Amino acid sequence: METITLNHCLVLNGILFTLGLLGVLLNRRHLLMVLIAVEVMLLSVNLNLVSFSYFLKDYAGQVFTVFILTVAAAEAAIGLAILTLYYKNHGTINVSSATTLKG
Amino acid sequence: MFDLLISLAVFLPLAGFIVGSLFPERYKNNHAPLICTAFLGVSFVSTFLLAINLKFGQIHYTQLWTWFKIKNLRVDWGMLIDSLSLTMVLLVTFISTLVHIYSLGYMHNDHHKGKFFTLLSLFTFAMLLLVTAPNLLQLFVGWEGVGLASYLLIGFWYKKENPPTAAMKAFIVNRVGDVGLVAAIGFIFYIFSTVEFMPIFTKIAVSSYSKQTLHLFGNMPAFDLIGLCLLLAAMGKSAQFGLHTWLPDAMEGPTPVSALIHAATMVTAGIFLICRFSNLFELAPIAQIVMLIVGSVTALFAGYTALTQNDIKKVIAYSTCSQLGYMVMACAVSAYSVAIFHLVTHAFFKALLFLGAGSVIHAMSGEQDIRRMGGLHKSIPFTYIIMLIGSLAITGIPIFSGFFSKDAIIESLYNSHMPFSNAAFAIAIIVVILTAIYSWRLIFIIFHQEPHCDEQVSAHIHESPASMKIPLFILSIGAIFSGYIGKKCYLNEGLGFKWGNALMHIPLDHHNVPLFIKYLPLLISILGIMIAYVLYVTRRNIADYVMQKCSFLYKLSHNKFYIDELYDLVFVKPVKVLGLLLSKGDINIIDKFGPDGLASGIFKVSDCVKKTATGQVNHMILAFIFVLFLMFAYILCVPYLPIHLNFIGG
Repeated sequence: METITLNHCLVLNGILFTLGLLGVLLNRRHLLMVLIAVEVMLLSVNLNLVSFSYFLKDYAGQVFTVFILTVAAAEAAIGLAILTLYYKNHGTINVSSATTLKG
Repeated sequence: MFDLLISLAVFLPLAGFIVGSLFPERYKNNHAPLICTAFLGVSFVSTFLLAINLKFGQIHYTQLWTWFKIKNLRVDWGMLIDSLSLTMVLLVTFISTLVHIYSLGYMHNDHHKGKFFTLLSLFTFAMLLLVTAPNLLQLFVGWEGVGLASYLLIGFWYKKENPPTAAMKAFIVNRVGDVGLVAAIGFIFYIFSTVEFMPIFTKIAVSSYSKQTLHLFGNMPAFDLIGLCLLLAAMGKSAQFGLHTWLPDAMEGPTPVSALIHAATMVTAGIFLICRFSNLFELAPIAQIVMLIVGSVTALFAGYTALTQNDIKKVIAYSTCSQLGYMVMACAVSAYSVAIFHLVTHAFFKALLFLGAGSVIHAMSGEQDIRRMGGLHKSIPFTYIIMLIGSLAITGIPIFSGFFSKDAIIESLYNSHMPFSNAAFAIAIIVVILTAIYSWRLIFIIFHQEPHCDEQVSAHIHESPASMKIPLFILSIGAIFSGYIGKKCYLNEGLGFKWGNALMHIPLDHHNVPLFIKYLPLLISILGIMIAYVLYVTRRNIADYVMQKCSFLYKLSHNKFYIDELYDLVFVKPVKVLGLLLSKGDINIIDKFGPDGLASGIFKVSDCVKKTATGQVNHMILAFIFVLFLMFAYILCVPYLPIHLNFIGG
């Protein structure tokens, strides 16, 4: 049985981050999904921090992650607020219908 | 003391213009007219005080400030007062004040009368600047200022069809004359290396200057060339034959403007210029002969044309043209003081005639065609008497001013020994009879024939208000007495008046003139009046008969010798075609590839760029990540890149 090394963790984080990115890019329907995908990206980065802090024995990284999580919670709240407002104004949360910035 | 008075005289009209213009549009009509009139009145009074206190024959130079200095050429603003310019300043301020007062009544109902008065003041100021100029460049500024103000005033009723065209015509024709003035200034500076009048006049007498030649189309004596250029300038402003076409058209302006242009402020500028350079013309025999020919042709042509015009103002306009011809003839035979004398008397009776004509037009509710007037001597007796005095003066009946000045011109033509002076004398005599006929034709048709106007107009015929009558009355006194007083002053240097060095004054030699020649103009004038009486009152069918028999001569006169048509064909049409051609090239080549091409190209490019901005959130994020990727790639590649592609250091 092989032990889990830093490399394993980094590969996992990379896969998670890519999944989140693809979720943001390819999702064309729900704005909520975009929000969730963004959250996934953020968490993968956090996981990255934790992994490095564990393997390098530097616990500042883990403390840092706790702070980031609180900020992420606030960010998610704002995102959801925007989302509800958007729904109130437009009657939909379809991503492809949000084209006000079209040139 | 003198400095203050002359400064007031010259700059108060400018102050009137500025103050009047500063009023907001709402108050302008109420305040500007009175302010401008009052300022001009004060200007006249200060000139008058100056004339009383200044000893004539002296030269008084007021230097204001330096305009510019280039190496050893220094040009100042200033005022040169000698007998000639003082005469002109007095005349200009006097006539202009009266015209201002007259306009208070005449322009009473105009919606832009405030603007009108400010422009009148500007016009007067420009003329004052011209006549008091101590150097050629200030004279040029005044010269152009007069042109500009006349353009604005002739085109004052800019909403009508004709005035803007007439204004444009006056401006452009005057530019032709200006070419002469600019060339003259250039030649004078080349020869004398100064543009100040005083040094020029002292240098003219030095023979080393007068013997110089200039090479232009072959060698020419420098003074002749300068003289011819100055003559061209004078021809433009003083409406001599060839450049006269603007003057009759200038009638499209309001009547007070016509009076001002014809009496004091514009057409006299040319005569003034010639008299200013009288010393130079004395040494330029070729220029003098050309001047004599130009003057004679103008006098004869304009007098003949005036015979058949039907617009009351056009008749008087051509009569001005003809009288200016007289003045130029007088200048040509070295009788400069006589020319100025005639200029002064002419200013009085021509202003009188024009303002009187304005009064007639006012009475006829704007009608200017004499064929639709008639029988007015009962309904507007004051205007009738005014016009009568004006006509008597211009015809040269004794007591009235024209008699003295016109006789002096004819006598000096008779005395002259120049080539062609005999022909000029004959022409002058012919013009006397023409003058009598066209002047009295006006009087007889307007006042003595039976009324030709319709009911509506005739019911509304009324005498003018007091503000128009008072200037007319004052002018009529001038038109009667200016001849007698002027003769004592200008010709005999009496009453404390002296020409000094202001111009070349040669006292008239009366003994040389036979009695018959002395009385010839008077006899001819009376004959002319009688002919006019017969043709237009008692035997009117004769006029029609003559018209039919000599239809060619009639048409020639009525159509002003087809000069307008000729100019239209020779100058206006080709220029228009050329302009049209060039505008095609402009649109199809320069515009197409220049501004327009650039603008439409940018539109095309921006249309392409616009397509990338879809507004989709995904696309924006993709672009963001793509750029991020590029930046990371660049940072990773930096160690392997050549040094000059490393923008981030390290």
